[in-house]
Amino acid sequence: MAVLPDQVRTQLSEMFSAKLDAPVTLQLFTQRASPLVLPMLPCETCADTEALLREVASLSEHVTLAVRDFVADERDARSLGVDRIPGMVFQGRNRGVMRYFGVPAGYEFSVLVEGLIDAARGATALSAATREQVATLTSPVHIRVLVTPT
Amino acid sequence: MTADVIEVAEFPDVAQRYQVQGVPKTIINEQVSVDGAVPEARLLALVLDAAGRGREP
Repeated sequence: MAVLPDQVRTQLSEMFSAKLDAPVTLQLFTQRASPLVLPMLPCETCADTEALLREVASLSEHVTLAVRDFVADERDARSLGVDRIPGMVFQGRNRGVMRYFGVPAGYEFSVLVEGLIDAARGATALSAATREQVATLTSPVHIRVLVTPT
Repeated sequence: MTADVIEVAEFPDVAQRYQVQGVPKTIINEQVSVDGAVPEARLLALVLDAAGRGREP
């Protein structure tokens, strides 16, 4: 079932063909639908997030979605710093670590889209001066941006 | 560098941990916290500061 309206799908396809010219993989850690009830790990937005990402990934040949199980693939989740679900990791030519936690819906949908494009290109909209300064960093920096969908 | 975006409506523990009263809220290295949209130059200054380089000439 389509999650995105036709108009958005069309716009996104066009944007991806214009701006996405290199491979990018989105590793989504989620909860697999299971006949077992796991009361300790309720994930209310996991199914919606997976459906949304599947649809977005289907709009560009350069986007690969890897759906991972947070429990079964716990080691990978840990090494990628995914400590909650839904959690996704953008892997393209980006040198830093880019992750998104939660469902990238509403205003946050553009974070997903821009994240895919930036990761694929290994580039950002930052000025040359900023990039120069950031390149001189010698200690790790972890930025967390806390958002809500509305 | 690591950049995380966290949708806190889904993760109230994160909202609580960082005492979120409004979004966006940016936390750098658990030391620096800034509310609202952050212009690039200010973000850079905060990043350099958090990384311990802010006071270099």
